[in-house]
Amino acid sequence: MKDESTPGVAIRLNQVTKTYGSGNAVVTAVKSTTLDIFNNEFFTLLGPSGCGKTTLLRLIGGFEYPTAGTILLGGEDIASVPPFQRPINTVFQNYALFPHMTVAQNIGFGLRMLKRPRHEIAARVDEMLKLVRLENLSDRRTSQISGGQQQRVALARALASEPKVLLLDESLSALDYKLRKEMQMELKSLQAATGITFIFVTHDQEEALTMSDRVAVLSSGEIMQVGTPHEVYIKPANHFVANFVGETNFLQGRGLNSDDRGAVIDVRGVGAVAIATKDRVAPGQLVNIVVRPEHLRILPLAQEPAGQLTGSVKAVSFCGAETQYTIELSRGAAVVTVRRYNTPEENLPIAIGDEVSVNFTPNSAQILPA
Amino acid sequence: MAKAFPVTHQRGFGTVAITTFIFLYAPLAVALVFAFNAGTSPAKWGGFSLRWFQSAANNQQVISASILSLKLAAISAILSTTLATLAALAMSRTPRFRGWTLAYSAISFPLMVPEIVTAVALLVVTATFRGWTGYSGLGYLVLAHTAFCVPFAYLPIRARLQTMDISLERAAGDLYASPWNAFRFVTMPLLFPGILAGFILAFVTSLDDVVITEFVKTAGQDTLPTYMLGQVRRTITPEVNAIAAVFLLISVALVMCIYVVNQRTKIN
Ligand SMILES: Nc1ncnc2c1ncn2[C@@H]1O[C@H](COP(=O)(O)OP(=O)(O)OP(=O)(O)O)[C@@H](O)[C@H]1O
Ligand SMILES: [Mg+2]
Repeated sequence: MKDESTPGVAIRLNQVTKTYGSGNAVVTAVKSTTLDIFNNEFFTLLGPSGCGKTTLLRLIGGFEYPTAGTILLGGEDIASVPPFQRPINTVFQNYALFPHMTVAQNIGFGLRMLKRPRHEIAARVDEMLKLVRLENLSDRRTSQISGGQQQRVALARALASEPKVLLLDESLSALDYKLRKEMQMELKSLQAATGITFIFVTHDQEEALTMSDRVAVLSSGEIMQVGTPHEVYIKPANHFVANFVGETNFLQGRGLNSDDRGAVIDVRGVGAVAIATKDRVAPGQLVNIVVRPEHLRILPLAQEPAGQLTGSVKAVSFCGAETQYTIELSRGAAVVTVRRYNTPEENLPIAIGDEVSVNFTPNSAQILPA
Repeated sequence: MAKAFPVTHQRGFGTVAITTFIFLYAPLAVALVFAFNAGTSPAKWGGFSLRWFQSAANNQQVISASILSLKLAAISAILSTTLATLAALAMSRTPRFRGWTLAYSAISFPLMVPEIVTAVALLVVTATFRGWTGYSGLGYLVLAHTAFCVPFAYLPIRARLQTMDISLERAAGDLYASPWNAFRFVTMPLLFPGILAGFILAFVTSLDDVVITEFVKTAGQDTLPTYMLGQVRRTITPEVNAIAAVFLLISVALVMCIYVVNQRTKIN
């Protein structure tokens, strides 16, 4: 079946639902999900454990069949195509390298199964070895190389047959921090170099933000928001996304009034707070003011007149490039986290117990229904 | 964590260990030594010679019994290993079904049935079939041996399958291998040491069997063990010892094969 498809769409999920089990033990892993993933895109599925990320990948890879809905690859319905006939390859979470083959044989396996001529396979394997910088390990067994190298073999093996789409399931989570950072950059540049659509699964929001062209945030089998990392971080669509992607402060209150330039919210236990935002609030509506820790400014109260909020410093933790302050707002109503870059010229020293004024930087706060 | 119980430090451990080894190996050693006896008694030493090996090698009955034994062991080991491989794959590569536990126990249950019981049962069945069909060839022995060798072949194959990562097969499928190719290029090579071990165990088990063979065979179908049993009942000469020595050598060599292959092809 041909779709009247938009050119540029690599994978289209149409109302896809997947349930496991039967009777009263049914688990809905994916709930009528509709999603377009474009050609040449680095697309990330981000969400907490058990939200259905792996299930979505397995549906696209063909290892599971949707309970309802259709999956299109380049406009073609692939529901009835078994995995070994889909031009989609996977980098498995545990790599799944063949232990009885050498690195080179692993990389050439897909092409061998496609019955490509021997010399073509050899040439392609060499090319892939160069791409992932493992030329000198081609004759090693996969058990004789390090975790990072195994990761690269898995990547080369999946890329060798030039799939239309590459699926990566938490591929970096087994690596240590330094190597993970390195591989993130490497994956990103590989994706750019090959022009293959990458669908990457992770529960690490930082990883998702740094690597992706677009991110889909999932919760309990449903897509909460799809957008660029910037959109997802700056303009979270709902409470879940705001909370899951990056650290956030929530101040609950009721709307007093709002106009084009801002809104006034009666924050519980704090009182009326005016913020600059385009979001509209109905009087009496229960809302959350959402603001990132780095978008709050703090200054010692002694030096400054009281700002939007005041509070006292409960904890200070040094995190290298920045310092994080936990502030209990006056009258003990709420606790917020504030982050300041450690640039020596700017910052006035602030210590535990200090009274501070807390200000929103302009246009940094957002209002979401509570 | 508590320290392991220091069994080697217990009083008398050494004595018990040594006595056990003596009881296990001394009779075997004596039997082997007397294979080289120049005299005619398996109990009175008459000097060194290889005459009983020579005599066994020239004994037409020994030769035909040996050929039958090897033929029977080879055929039934191939059959039982094939069946065991299929059973092991079915048990570990299909989702749990109703009666899974029953099937699992049924496959290894024959190990627990006293051999004499199986033998009597098979005697009744084969006798009946012989009566119906008039056929009295090697087929009955082949079937009987295949049947009791299946669990021996099954255990090492299943053990190997359990250490194998099922995602490897999935990865093969992902990389354009049809189910058959995934089996041929990934499952089979990884499973091979288990299959070989299963085959050798089945082979040795069949080679060694007395009870079932004795009940199922017809006249002229002596295997080496039943021939030896017959000889021992009559006059006992060191020829039996010589046969036993060769027999032992073959068994040990085969089992060593399993060990070597396992060492060479450890997964990881
Ligand atoms: N084969 C299965 N049978 C029954 N339930 C399953 C099966 N696979 C997954 N589930 C359930 O479906 C839901 C989604 O699982 P999935 O593996 O897709 O989560 P995930 O987002 O990949 O989680 P993680 O980050 O922990 O890997 C979970 O509630 C899980 O328990
Ligand atoms: Mg998962």
